[in-house]
Amino acid sequence: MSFKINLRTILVIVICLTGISVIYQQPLVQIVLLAVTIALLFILRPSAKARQKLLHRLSSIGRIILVIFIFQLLFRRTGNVIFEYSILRITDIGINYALASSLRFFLIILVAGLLMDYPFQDYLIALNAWKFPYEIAFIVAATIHFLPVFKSIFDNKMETLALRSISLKKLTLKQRLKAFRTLLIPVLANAIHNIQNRSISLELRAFRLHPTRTYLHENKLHTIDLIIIMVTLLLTLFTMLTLR
Amino acid sequence: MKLLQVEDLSFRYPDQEDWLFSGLNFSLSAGQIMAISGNNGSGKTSLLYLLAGIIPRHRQGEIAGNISLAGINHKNADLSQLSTIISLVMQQPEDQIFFPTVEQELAFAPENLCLSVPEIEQRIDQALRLLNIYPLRFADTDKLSFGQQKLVALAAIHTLQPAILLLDEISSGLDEVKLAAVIKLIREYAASGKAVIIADHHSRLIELAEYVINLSKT
Repeated sequence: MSFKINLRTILVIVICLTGISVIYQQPLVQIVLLAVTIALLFILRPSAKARQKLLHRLSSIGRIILVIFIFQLLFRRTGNVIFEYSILRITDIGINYALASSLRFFLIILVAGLLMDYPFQDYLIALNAWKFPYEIAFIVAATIHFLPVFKSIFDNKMETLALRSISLKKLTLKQRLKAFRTLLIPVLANAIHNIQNRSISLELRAFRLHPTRTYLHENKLHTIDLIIIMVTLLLTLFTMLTLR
Repeated sequence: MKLLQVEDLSFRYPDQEDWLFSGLNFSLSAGQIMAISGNNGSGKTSLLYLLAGIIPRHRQGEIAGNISLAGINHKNADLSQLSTIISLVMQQPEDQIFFPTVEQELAFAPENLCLSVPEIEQRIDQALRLLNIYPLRFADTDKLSFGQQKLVALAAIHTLQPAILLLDEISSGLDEVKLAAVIKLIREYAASGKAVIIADHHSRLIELAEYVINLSKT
């Protein structure tokens, strides 16, 4: 089954999933939430582009999740000791926290996959439908829009370096960090310039001329969206009452 | 009917000793096309930024002289208000494209004007047909060629329908077919009782103008 449900419905699901994930620390809760998210990803079938992005993100963030796991495992020293050697001490609370935090991180990345197929304009319309002030809605949507812009500027710089036969992959970690530091200033300057020009361009098209505006496309909730929202909210409430 | 009056206008950027241009005087009436020519760095873009109000609102510099616009106070109005009377298509199209599809990009200006859905549709249709890019209506903006991006940026200002349309190096990166579409749009825009100012190097665009200001000589 494949259907495109309203962004507002997805946002409600995302808020509920991440909300429960943040409130409850138990690894089992995180595993259930992960399972729900994976099932949703299968049902909603993100586009090939979104799937590719998601897999790329997961692979590049895998190491960070591992680092979070190790840090939580080693630095939580309270609880029943399971293993101890010299200054190294692993406790049951440490394992619990390590599992919960890395699973939560993993969940947040996966949940983002649910949002990847919705364009910038849909966020504006969705937030507007929830009576968010237009400026705030625009800033939120523009921030989401800005991230790929920033990445593309960074990629362009990397390509420029590659064309000069400089491959960062061949450098040592120390040299790579130094190169990134050098790259960061022109990338940021470029990004700021780019954003300034874009904001001028928006004003040149009567942005915020009136306190309200019209929309070419309305984004109405269908019956299926309302049912999903109701079920999600009820399940969230039930989960919170059960885990209290 | 005079839409724009420029009197004794001079400008220089901060820390510059010499004026970029000085003592400019011209006016523009409804239905007129004017061109600004000059070498690179002669101040064509700066003059357009001054007319559009980007200078001094977003870029700094010292201004002398006066710019008057019909129906609005050029000095005190904010850029959004000014844009309904005078607006600019900038040189770099990627700086002006914000939305994921061409239709959304073109709808933005009339949506801000609070137009009704049929009116927004009509303006989008008109701009797309004038520029022969109707098939691009639902295209992703990140998949457009440079020339297509330029036309979309122009169409996005066209849907705003300002009384004065400013075009900065609109011909750069356009092939002959696209350039012909732009020329058609400029002619029709002026014929509809509005005015156009073109800053460009291309002779076919300069030839459209009733008069030309050469900044290299000032």
